[in-house]
Amino acid sequence: MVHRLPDGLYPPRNYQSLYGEGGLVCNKPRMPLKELPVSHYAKISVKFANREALIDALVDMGWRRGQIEVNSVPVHLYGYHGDERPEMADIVIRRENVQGSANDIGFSTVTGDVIISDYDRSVAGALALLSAQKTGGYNEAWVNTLKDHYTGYVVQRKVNELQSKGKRVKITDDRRENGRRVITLDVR
Amino acid sequence: MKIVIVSGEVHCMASDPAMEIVRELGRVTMTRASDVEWDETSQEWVATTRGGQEIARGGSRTEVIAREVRVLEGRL
Repeated sequence: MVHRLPDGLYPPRNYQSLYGEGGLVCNKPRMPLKELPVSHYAKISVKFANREALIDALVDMGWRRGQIEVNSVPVHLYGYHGDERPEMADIVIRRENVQGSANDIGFSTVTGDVIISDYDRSVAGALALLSAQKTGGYNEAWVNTLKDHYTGYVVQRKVNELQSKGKRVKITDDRRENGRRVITLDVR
Repeated sequence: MKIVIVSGEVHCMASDPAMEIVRELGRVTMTRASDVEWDETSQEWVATTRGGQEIARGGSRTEVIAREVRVLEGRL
């Protein structure tokens, strides 16, 4: 197939080269070739903005729902000595539920940030059932594992929402390979 | 459509359906992945990566882009 583009616009006005003399004539809006869309990679830095998905992800990480404090407005976090810290969050794991941790862990679903003290990021200490996953406290690797779970729940919720609107979308595969989670969707 | 989660970041090929699903996850950064240009010599559309590697070619621009997206998605 050959498209001839004498005027530099796409689609061609006339598809004679495809369909022969008297062939299909294109009446669609045309645009300069240089302005045509091309493929882009999208990268998203995950933020914790969806409360329900975050709570599900925290349960995956070993907490019971009753240990996850959900507040309608941000509240202060507390430190090892019961001292009020300046940081505020609406989703909070209090320090008594964070084995090996000295301070509360908080999440602001307004900013999407996780609040973990420098001390807790640096020391080994975690729920016993998660000990195999721990490499040194609630560090970046731990946060990334949480984001992995969180993203899965956000995607699942979005798919459910789209399906409820009649859109034909479904997750066809969800696997972890080489340190990555790969979710495949069928969208029609 | 494929969504890859690695090191706290989500990667996918940009499309309206994909963005509808992942947009709420956080701030989006877009990087152009390819060039699709008309090859005067062969009289075909040719898709190349930003590094210049040819990944699809053909007479239909739509089909070339579809093939190109599949190739790029396989490399995520």
